Amino acid sequence: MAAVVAILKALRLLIKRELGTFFAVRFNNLFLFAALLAYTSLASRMMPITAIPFFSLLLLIMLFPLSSDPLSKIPPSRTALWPLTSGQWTVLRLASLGLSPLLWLALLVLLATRRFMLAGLFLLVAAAAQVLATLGTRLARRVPQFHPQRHLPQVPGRLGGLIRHNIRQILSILDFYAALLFSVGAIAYRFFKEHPDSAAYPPLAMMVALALSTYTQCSFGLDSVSGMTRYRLLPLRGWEILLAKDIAFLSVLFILTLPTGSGMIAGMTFGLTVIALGRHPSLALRLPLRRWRFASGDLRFSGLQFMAAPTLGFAASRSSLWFLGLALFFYLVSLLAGGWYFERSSTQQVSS
Amino acid sequence: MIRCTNVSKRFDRVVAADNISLQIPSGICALIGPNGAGKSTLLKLLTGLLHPDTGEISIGGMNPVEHPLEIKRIIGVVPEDLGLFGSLTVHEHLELAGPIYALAKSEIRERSDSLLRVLGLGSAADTFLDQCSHGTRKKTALALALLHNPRVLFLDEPFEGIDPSATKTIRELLTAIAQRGITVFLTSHMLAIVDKLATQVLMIRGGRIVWNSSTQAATRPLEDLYFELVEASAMEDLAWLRS
Repeated sequence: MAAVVAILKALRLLIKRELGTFFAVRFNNLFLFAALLAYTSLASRMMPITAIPFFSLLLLIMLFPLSSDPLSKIPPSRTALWPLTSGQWTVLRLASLGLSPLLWLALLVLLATRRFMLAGLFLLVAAAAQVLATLGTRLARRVPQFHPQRHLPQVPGRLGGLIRHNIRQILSILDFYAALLFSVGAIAYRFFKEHPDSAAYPPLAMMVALALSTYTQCSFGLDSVSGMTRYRLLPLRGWEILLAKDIAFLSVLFILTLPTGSGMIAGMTFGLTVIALGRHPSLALRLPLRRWRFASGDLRFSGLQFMAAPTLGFAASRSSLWFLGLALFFYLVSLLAGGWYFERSSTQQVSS
Repeated sequence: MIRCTNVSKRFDRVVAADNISLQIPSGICALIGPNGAGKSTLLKLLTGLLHPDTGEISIGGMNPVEHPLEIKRIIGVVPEDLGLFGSLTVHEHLELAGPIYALAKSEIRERSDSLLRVLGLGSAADTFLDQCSHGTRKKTALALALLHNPRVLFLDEPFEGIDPSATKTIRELLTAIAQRGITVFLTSHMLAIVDKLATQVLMIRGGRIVWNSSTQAATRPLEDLYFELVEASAMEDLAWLRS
């Protein structure tokens, strides 16, 4: 039994460390927005009902990476070498389920609601998420042609390869999937509601942009040291490297806000503003970012993005397109200043 | 082609390059020395990834600090960390770099095909870099360095961690491109390969060039010279092992 206990202890440590990476969501702009909604409801002594859909959405998306098999944390080459009997393996398999964060979440749901059905439903959804995630990963590994990122076409132009690389990075963070769900919601509203109100489109487009916005504060977060070296070796100016990142972000935003029709003006104004305000943290703070997690920003810059981006977005869609021009101006200033900073800092950050 | 005059670089208290002066006209120049001797720092200084504290560098008559873009267009580099993106395939790396170096589509296709074939990367062309072996990554970095037909090639440890057949391929490739007039500057620990391949050898220790084959005659085999000039003091530090 000592061997099984030792492995379980190691597993607990691994899971504890991995869970820590999920808490990055607390500095995500969408989470902060939901927290703000909850706070305002509670401050007026009301139930935070308006915040619940947003928290549920975040949890639903996180179920996919959270629901992985605890035993999969140990490399198969290592487990194959351990001299364990089949009985010990069975004990380990059953005991490892107790380390699953989802089981603990289901227990929390049960304690909070006292409804077995709800906790059971939660576990069922989580199990479905795990099956989908595992099947998807295995299929992509066994039949490489099914890897969804392979089908992203080469973008034309000098910066095309870099833009494609950056779009792939955006597709590998959970923020994109939150934005995608908002976009699907916009499609459903537009095409299935009997008399859709056109005034709803700008806020819908800005929700899509808000869900993506934290990434602008850590746009270099997924670039490894090796990738950063390549940026420095390519015969490109600093602003061109930033432009490739921005085009990738704005292209994704453009496609996701397309269903909102005229709301796109608000969405794109929002997008340009958050890029401009996220430039400094993305270059100077180098906030960490992990694949299949929500992006995490800096509270000061998230606050600025919260204030400026919706203001300009609403103004551009309701008052005048000059506000879109103003956002574009801020963006261009940030692009040039950021490019200068990138070039200046790049020869100081490479150490021996 | 490559000239260094009194170049120095410090990192806090560590002197990584100490008043280095050298000249490499053409051919294959190998820089050898123990870990932490300053090989990678010198390579980063020459490629413009680092700026020197003092001294001057010239590549093809241009200073990397004053003309960074022009220099980047005429050099090819295989850096220490290879400079690759995990989320791109081998072939997509070449597709990314080609337009940046202003190559036409047909040129990119033609050159990519021949580089993939010569370097034995054909079967791995559509594999994402984060799923490739170390040898494949190294060969991809070499393919990227050669794609735009550079005038000077810088390679940091090109033979480290790769199998003998890949080593042979890279060695033959470097000999061939040096004969076509491309200057090659490489760092290595592999003395036997360096001895066969290089037309000029530099030894570095503590950030100083302690031997330059173009100015100092070799009185004994390279390996003996290396252990006398570079590693001798390190072995003395292990004297306690005998007691």
